[in-house]
Amino acid sequence: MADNSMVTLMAADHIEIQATLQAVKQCATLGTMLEVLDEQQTLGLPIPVLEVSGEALKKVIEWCEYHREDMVVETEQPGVAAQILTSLPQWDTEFFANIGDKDLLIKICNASNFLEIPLLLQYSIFVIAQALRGKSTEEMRAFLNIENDLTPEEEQKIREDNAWAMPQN
Amino acid sequence: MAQTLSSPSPIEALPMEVILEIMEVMGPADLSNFGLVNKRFYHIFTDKRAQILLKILRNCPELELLLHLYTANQNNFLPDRMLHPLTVTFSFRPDDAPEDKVFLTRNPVAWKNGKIVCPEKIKLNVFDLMALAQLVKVIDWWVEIYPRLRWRDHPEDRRCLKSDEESRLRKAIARWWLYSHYFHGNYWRNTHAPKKFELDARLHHVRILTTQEIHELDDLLGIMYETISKDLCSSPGKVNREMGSVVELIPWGKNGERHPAIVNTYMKLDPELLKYFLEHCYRYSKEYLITAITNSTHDLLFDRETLSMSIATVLEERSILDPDRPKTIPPMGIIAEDRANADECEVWNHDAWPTGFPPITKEQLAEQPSELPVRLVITLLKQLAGCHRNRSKSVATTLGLTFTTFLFLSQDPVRSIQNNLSTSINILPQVDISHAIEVHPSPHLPPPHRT
Repeated sequence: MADNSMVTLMAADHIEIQATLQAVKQCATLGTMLEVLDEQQTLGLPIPVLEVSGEALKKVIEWCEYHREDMVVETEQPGVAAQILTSLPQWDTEFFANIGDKDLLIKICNASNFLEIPLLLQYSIFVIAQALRGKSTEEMRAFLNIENDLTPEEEQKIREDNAWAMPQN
Repeated sequence: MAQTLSSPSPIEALPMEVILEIMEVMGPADLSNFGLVNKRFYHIFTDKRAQILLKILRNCPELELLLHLYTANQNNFLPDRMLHPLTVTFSFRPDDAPEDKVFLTRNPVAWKNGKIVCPEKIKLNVFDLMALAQLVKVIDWWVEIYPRLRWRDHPEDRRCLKSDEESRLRKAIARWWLYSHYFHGNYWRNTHAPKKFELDARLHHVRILTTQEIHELDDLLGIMYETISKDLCSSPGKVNREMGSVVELIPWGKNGERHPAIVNTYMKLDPELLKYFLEHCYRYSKEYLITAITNSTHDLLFDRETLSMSIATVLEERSILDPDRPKTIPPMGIIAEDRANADECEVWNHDAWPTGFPPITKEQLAEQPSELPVRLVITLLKQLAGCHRNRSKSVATTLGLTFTTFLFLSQDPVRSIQNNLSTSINILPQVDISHAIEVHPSPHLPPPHRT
């Protein structure tokens, strides 16, 4: 199959998304799947990506299409994990700024982890950490829409046990 | 009471290793809050504490400086010990094999003045990492409030710092802290002004920096001076204006005359102490605050800060030893707007003296120019004093003075001369001093101010 041929991906909610083969190869999981599958028998069939919603998959593929010319970063490549990220390239900054919905951002992060796209995973982790910057615990819970399952007594004990790390106020 | 939410958050679906990675790119303060969000995050936080802290610390551009600060002790005042190279390691378990230890900083063996220098080897444990994280939290606080301080007069221009600006700021804060710890804190303090071409641990701290780094540090000091002056050493009071009396911030010190002396004394507070007082100053009366600040450091009122003097002295040493050095140094502040372009700044990024002493021969030392006549300096500086801050800054730049030196000299010239600071002015070659009359200042320094 030529790199510019189109592939259909099917998300968890049965939404079908078209992508170039080159973009799909940015996802190590899908790249391996395409290598393993018999090309003749699977040609034209949608590739199921059942762990990712259509909304998130669409954004992931948008990112992959833009970066399809980039060299695919190997997960185990030494130095990748140790690389310090201080800011994103301009296009990627705009990409994440346009997402708007924080739940979608987290879904993209999860999808990039499942699909093994190290650079997108690194970028989305960075963006989530930046979004949480300067927030109190309560604000983080509200931002992440997450339930507090600690009782006030437990929370107080944790604060006392970890006074070195906890905020003073 | 536990909250009840309609639908589960997508973050609940993130695997543990991704949560861990998010924690690793946070600052210590955010991490502390994040670890308390729920039980799952708290368990990840406690189980992987050392791993998370290591990653956070190694992401800090100021780590090496903070390691020097954390391991600072009295022995570093012994010859050749100040800022001695360090190799700092961490092991997850005491019985870890040597190859499993993690290097926080690693300095190779080097030669210094013909002698071999082996880095001091220090092993840290998880409690050391926690203490280091506390230092990082203080720097995080300054980074957070820095835009408010920098754009104090123009809040409409205020913005977040870019990553390169933040990196410069973090290092400058750590350098200021390290200097404050050794020379403004509870160790024995040298009350004499630093002198050119002398072995002086204070100058060592500045000499090992490039001119670019020195100017960034100087820029930070300018902001700190303004912060202490306006946020710590001013109190609201009634002022009579044409339209009636209004409440304004009035600088401490009789009619503002002693204000610079007060600010220069409080500039000795290190970043952590200053943070504390800035956070709490609005809760206390002026009298209580003065007592608290005075008691915070041993003999705080006995002297004033010397970092600006050390900066001025080292810059003058460099201009003397390199006659081809351009007379006008481009602006090299922390914020992009306060800097020349990268190419112009890069020229000034290779002139550090790693040994902590200038490369000077006896012949060069004998050829040093004579002292600057003090009357000329007093007249000039008195004329310049009272300029608007921005105007002052441009005047200082034009004259080749660093901003804090300019402030210090222009607001208190007599004491500056008495402290031998007149010799630290780069304007010497540019001014005709042939008709100036020598004035000998009183050998008695004014007593330390009583706030």
